[in-house]
Amino acid sequence: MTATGVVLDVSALIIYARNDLQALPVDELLRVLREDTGGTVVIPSLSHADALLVLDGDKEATDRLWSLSDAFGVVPPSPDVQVVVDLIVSESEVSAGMAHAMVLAAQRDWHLATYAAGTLERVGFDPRLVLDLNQIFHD
Amino acid sequence: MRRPDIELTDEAAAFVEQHPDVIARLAEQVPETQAAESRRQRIRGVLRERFSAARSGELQGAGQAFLARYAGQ
Repeated sequence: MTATGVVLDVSALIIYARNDLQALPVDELLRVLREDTGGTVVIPSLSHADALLVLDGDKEATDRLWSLSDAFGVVPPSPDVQVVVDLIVSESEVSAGMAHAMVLAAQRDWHLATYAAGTLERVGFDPRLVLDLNQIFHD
Repeated sequence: MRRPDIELTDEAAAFVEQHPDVIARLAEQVPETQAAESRRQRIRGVLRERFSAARSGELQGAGQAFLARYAGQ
């Protein structure tokens, strides 16, 4: 058996923080990890920072995001990871937050929970690692 | 209004008698709640399936090809 974990990307953090109906898959994801699998929840610090920028001015959403990160912590990029993040950003034109989430998920072969699966597909991220919350919500 | 199929305390029965509008509103919400719960269960099923695959090692090495593109640059 392999240990499992899930990395939350910028889109997942934003939708979770806004707490509307679309956040249902993130709520359930956290619940399944807590109750069933005991898997790790990873919040990349660059994704967290990007999400806070997008949520700027929305106090309720920002508070909810901080509660989440207080519960699970945030993972800062190591110098090596930062180098790869910078390369991905320059070559693929994705945000640093998205690149950080991709690197952390790829390093451990963990799922990357996202509402932006199209972006991951465009940059060649292995679809087996993508947990497409948008698709899960609409199916 | 149909009587509830449960035995109510005198206090609860009196509330039902006095507030049929509240009871009707609650009854209207039942299908909505059931639909949301059903959706939650379906989502949990999908997630459990994906995690089961991950635990069995099916994802092993999946991230390496992506990282290799940026290694040594």
